[in-house]
Amino acid sequence: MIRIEQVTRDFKSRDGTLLRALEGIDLAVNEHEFVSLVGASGCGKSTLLRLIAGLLPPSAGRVSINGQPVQAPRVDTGLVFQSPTLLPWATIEDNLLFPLRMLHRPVTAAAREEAHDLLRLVGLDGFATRFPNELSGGMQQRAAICRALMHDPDILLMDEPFGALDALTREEMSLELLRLRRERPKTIVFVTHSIAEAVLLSDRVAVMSPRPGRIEALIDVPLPHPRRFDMEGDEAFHHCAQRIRTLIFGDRYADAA
Amino acid sequence: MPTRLEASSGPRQLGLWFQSVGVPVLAFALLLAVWEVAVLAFEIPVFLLPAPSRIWVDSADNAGVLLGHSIATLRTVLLGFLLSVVVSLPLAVLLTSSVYAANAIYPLLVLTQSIPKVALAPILVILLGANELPRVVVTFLVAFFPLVIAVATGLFTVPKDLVELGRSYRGSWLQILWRIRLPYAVPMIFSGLKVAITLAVVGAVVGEFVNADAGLGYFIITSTAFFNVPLAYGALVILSIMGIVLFQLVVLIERRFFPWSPGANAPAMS
Repeated sequence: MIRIEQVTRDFKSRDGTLLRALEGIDLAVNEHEFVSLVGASGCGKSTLLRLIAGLLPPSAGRVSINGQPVQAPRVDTGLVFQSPTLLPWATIEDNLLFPLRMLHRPVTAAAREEAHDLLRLVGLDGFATRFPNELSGGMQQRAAICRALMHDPDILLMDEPFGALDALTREEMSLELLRLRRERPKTIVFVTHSIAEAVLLSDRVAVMSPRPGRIEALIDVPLPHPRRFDMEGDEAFHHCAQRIRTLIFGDRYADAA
Repeated sequence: MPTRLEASSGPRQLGLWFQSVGVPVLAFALLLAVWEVAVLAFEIPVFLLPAPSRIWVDSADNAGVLLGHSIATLRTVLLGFLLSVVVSLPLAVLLTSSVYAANAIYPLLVLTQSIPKVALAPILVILLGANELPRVVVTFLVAFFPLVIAVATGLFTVPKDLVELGRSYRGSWLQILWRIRLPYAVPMIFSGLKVAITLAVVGAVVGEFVNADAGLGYFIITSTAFFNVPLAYGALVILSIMGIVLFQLVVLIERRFFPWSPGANAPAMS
């Protein structure tokens, strides 16, 4: 499980002054739990994700996974970026095998089989030998999610993974992620600025506020599993989304939505 | 695909072929014809401007000599080019690895480029001796700069996300360089190589002008000294053919080994 205790993160700006991106963050994510980080841009949600990923050290406080402090990227975490960040010179299969090569793991026939299984799981079978630029944006992002699963991490860290996709592809990808989660349970921390996406996918939503980034509230999503799109019509869904909206915007805009 | 088959046998395809290949060849032939006729009509002396036919005949008569000099020049070009590749790649990696390295090396690089290589060549002969080395060094000095700049630009422009991806898999500096940054820079590296190979021919000739006992540059100097102008023109033609062939070789290598590079799909002559 992921434990974040009293974490603060400062950045030095160009003129030398310190900018506080995160302050006093406390958050615990349980095993196989899906937690979304939601907030306006600049609230430090991506920074928080990078702290968990071990790509950034905290300025103060402690980030730990299964009791061990996170000091560098770990093998039990997998990262998905907003852009697919596939290697343009490698086929989809080679892109999926990239984590194994970086981690000095053998690229066996079984590993290739696993890559094809994952591609089949997200509806990309038959695309293993294609190059990224031959795939649509949504397909590329699916491949990127497969890549993050290749080394079988326990924790999936997703930084606005559907943010660059069109609205329809986005919905499709949400369903895909729900299905993926049923078949391969993972602990997932998911950064998004879509409230509906956060409510539909998450067990809990951490609502963040900017300057400096804090966790304003932790909200339980009371919807049953498995999640389906028609739940967006439920009273509980609306109530939950409305609470998040109010926390982010204040009462001003709450009625308009 | 049936549509493509139809198109390739149709008259439209023939027209396109004529446009892209026929027209330039015809224009070139016309130029040679005008040249030939003008030399005959105005009785231009051969030491001023030899007719194309005369250049061809004289060069063919001295084919063995020209071949020997061509091999000597080609050797200098390739050695200088190789040296610039061997120096440029690590130098560009160093340049992009830290701000300190960049600040230390960039001014020196610019300095080497502000010195006219033609002026430097005789000094290099004194420094390195009257042998092949100063010629190779001049070739290197002319060719390496655009290569360093191209490779460094390629390495600099790697998206932050890709490097972060490498880091997230616990990639070492070397792994990230080898598996992410260098492959990413390949299109830029090749655009640098294309400029460098062209400049290497120029550099080799400059070196041969100053100090050589063989090579096409040396041959042009000696044949013009004896007013053997048709042969000098012949050497000139060989030099330009050498430049074009070497350039195309770099293009072919890019296409063969890095088909995904955007540069590999560009027209070969561009």
